[in-house]
Amino acid sequence: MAKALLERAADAEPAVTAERRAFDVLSEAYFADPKRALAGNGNGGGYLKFGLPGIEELLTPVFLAAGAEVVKYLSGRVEGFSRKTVRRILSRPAPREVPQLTVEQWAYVRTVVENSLMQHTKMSPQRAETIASAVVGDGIAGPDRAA
Amino acid sequence: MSAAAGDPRRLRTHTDIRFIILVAAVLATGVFAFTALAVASPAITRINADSVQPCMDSLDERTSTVPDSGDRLSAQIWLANSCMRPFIRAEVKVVAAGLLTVFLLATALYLLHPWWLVRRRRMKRLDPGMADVVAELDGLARAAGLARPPEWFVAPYAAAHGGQAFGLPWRYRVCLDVGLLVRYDLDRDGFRSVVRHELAHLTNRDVGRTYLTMALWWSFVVVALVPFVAITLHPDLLVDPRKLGSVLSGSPLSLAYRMVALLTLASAGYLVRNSILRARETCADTAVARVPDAAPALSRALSVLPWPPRYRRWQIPERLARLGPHPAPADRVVAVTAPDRATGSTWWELAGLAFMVGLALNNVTLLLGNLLENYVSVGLLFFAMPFGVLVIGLLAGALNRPDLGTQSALLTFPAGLAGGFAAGYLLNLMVSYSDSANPFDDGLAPVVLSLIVLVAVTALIAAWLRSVRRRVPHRIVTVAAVLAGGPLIAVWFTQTYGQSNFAGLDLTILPATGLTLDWYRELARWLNAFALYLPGVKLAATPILAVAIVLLWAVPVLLCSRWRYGGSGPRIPVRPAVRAGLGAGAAALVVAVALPYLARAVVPADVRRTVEGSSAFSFAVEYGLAYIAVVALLAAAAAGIVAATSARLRPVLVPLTVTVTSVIGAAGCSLTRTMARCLALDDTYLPSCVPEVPGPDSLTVFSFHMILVWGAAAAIPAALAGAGAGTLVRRRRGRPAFARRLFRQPARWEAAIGLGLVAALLPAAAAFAMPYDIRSWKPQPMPFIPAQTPVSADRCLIGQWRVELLRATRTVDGKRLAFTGRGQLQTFRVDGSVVLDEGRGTTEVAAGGGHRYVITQTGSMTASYRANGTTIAYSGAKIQRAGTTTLTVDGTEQSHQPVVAGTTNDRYTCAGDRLRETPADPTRDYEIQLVRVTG
Repeated sequence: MAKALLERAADAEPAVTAERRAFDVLSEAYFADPKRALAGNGNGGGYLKFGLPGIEELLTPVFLAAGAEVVKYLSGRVEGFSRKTVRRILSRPAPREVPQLTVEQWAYVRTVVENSLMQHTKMSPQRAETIASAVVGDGIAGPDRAA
Repeated sequence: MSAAAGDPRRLRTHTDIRFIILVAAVLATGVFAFTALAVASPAITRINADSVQPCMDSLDERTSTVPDSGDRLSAQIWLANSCMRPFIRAEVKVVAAGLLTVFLLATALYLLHPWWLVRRRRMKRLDPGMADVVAELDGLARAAGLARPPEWFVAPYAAAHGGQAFGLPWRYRVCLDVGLLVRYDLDRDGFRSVVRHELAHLTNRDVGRTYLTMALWWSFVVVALVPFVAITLHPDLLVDPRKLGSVLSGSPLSLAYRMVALLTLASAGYLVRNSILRARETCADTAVARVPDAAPALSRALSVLPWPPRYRRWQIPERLARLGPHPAPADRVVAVTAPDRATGSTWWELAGLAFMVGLALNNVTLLLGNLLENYVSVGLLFFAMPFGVLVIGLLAGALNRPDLGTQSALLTFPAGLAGGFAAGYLLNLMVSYSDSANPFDDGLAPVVLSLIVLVAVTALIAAWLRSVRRRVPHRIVTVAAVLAGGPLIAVWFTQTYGQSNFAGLDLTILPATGLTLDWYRELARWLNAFALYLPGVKLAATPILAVAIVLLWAVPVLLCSRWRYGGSGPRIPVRPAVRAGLGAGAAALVVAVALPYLARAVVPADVRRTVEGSSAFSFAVEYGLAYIAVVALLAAAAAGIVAATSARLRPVLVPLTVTVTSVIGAAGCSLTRTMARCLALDDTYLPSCVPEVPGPDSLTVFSFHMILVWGAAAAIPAALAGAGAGTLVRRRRGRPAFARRLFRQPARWEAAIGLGLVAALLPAAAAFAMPYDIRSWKPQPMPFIPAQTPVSADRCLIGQWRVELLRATRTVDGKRLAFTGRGQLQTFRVDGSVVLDEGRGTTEVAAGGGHRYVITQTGSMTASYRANGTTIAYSGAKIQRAGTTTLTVDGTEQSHQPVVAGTTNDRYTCAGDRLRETPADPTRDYEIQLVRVTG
């Protein structure tokens, strides 16, 4: 699912596509130790490093965390929901047979992504909103957004 | 020619030396830490209590029957060495075992570091599925010159875009931050820059050195430092851990001193370690910058590194960050664009390195000195030489920066270096833990003077290097500086270690005759003080200064000569220097001829005679010293003139002038002695006009070394003053025409032969003086040690006695005078101790040659005694109440000195209330009659 989120986020941040190469490594690390993966400062000990640690902005762990929360939310509200279902909803183009989310549910998904971005990457609210919108895409186009 | 400043090989050597210094300092400190642990161990405590201490306590008693105080001291030193031997051997075993443990643990830590890093950073092998990335990385490794690519890892929790090199020589590894992996697609050049930087660490062989050094440091901390701190806080820990009363024993001040020394060691080690790591990072950057088209991408990658760094939530201040293991990114960018500036040391880095060198030297010296026993003087001189060479090598390396602000560096670099090296003595653990080796025992002056001398030596070498390298940038110049300066530093060390001799200018040493001749007495006092000034004496007893002075001028002259540079190289204007030296030398010869006539005219015959049995300097000695002083002053004057009239290469020309003056002045020594003998100036030798020919081990060769030492010491301030005056004059009037003319004059083959002869004369003289030098440094032969005799007491002696009449023949002012006196109180106690009390002052009076001599003595001393019915043997004399000995001639005070503890054994007869003492030593002449006061 996080991979799907990455694909969608690339609309707003083309640089994010580069994370596809490291996706497997990052996701494995996330599931082994989510906190450490989200912190992103696992430089550890030793010498002869290139430089002092500076944090690269990696979105994969953030989307993994956001995805987990989205699944948790939707699986309690929509019948027949699973992680696979969410991945299909978010994939492009979305298959017709997948359950459709309500505007409120899309809004919640966007809020979760937006909050995750701001919390874990210290991203500015404007930029987080842009990426979250890109991730949620057409699904949010309800009356409130149209206005 | 010299390697370029940014040459990677040179940079590697630069930091390799720093690694070696750090390791040496850590190991040497370990030597002392294990020595302290050994002393605190139960086994060695037992050896100390059972055999060493009783043996040492008996020294005074065992040597009390040796009549001569010098022989007694030699015997005591000899016996003390044999007393200490079992203790030292046990100590060495503990130190060796401790060092072996440190090495074994360090090896284990080093071998385990790849496993630990992989585990700590949760590294993963780079997925073989990323074939394109792996191919790119392997290609970069091959391009870097690695025969086999390293194993590639990725650190999945490191979002930074850095890398890390580690591993063992047979399996190197490079770990990429996952953030860097992401940049493979975004910024390929940036990605390559980082990888190339890490690969440069492998090709520079940084990995093994770095991790081995760190393993050694942690091993030292665990095996040596932690137990050592525990022993410091709880000295009885190994003997009786329950005895908590000894925790924090010692005065708060001494404990604070120890803690400061420990803290300084740890801080300096940490800072030097960081400076090495910074240099290695810069070195790797410059290696990448040499790859075509790689520099811009590397600069870009460096410029986005965060600076100053953060530690958790706190921003580290930039000044503090600059002391960390990574250089500031801006500095690294500069190093990439201008590799020549890559290895610049700052003065404080130099101070830190010199501090570590000083620590290494001083911490080993105590144990080594104990092992060397009677060869301690010469052994320490040879042991200190590589350290001296290292210190000057560091200075030479630091001054080799093209962008260096030379004027300030000529002061700050030597001062930093000397300060650091001296601090290595003041703040090493041995000094801070030993109550007997406190460098401040004699006040601050000796320490300050030592430091000034060290700064002066290093500053002169720095000035020479700067001056010569600007014209002859050849590595032989550096070698010459190191060979000239290193041994001088070693001599300095032998004169500073334990107790600094640099403040020991003793102006109380009077001549054997002529005390009533004011100008003669004062002149002799100063000459004697300089002649017996230990640093000068020890330096003159080696060929070190002679070789150093020749190197300082001969190396640049040879390098600049026509045959070396085919006539196109720089020329050194040697003629003014040689002419000044010849002029001063000619003046010395005139003095050599005139001095005997002058002495005969102004010094009465009574003063010019030799006094039998007197240990004070005779007229002949004072005469020789006066001539040497005149030559030294002439050399200084010539040096001042050369420095004033030359605008360049003064550090080369001044030693040349001093050499020429000294060579001619030394020939004048033979001449003036021949003249003195011919004129029967004194009665040392039979009158003869046969010229004295200088030969091996002759007085002339000895005088030559003294002329060099005195001449060099006088020439330095004279040359500085001359250079300053010359610069001022040139600023006002422009360069003198004659100087320009001299610079353009070509050298001739005659000059080359002349200089060659002069250069050859010094080593020849040094070789001739070797027998004298060896005598000065080799240990004394085994002294006579009397067999122990059973203690017996004489009840008649017990009680207090007053000197009713003292009659003694003493040599004063070259005359044997009969003194009489009274008043001293002697108290012999049952416990074997005696008190000799001068009360408010006792006087001895004598008359002779129309003068009245009075010796007044105050104070009191104690000693142990043993009496066997005929002889009283004294030992262990100590001052009880400080006093003075004052000599007045016709009511005018001639000398005033503190009383020094010392006694001479007596023969005696005791009956009832009468006691009579006469000397046990037949060379002495006195009789003391005493009456019983109490007892």
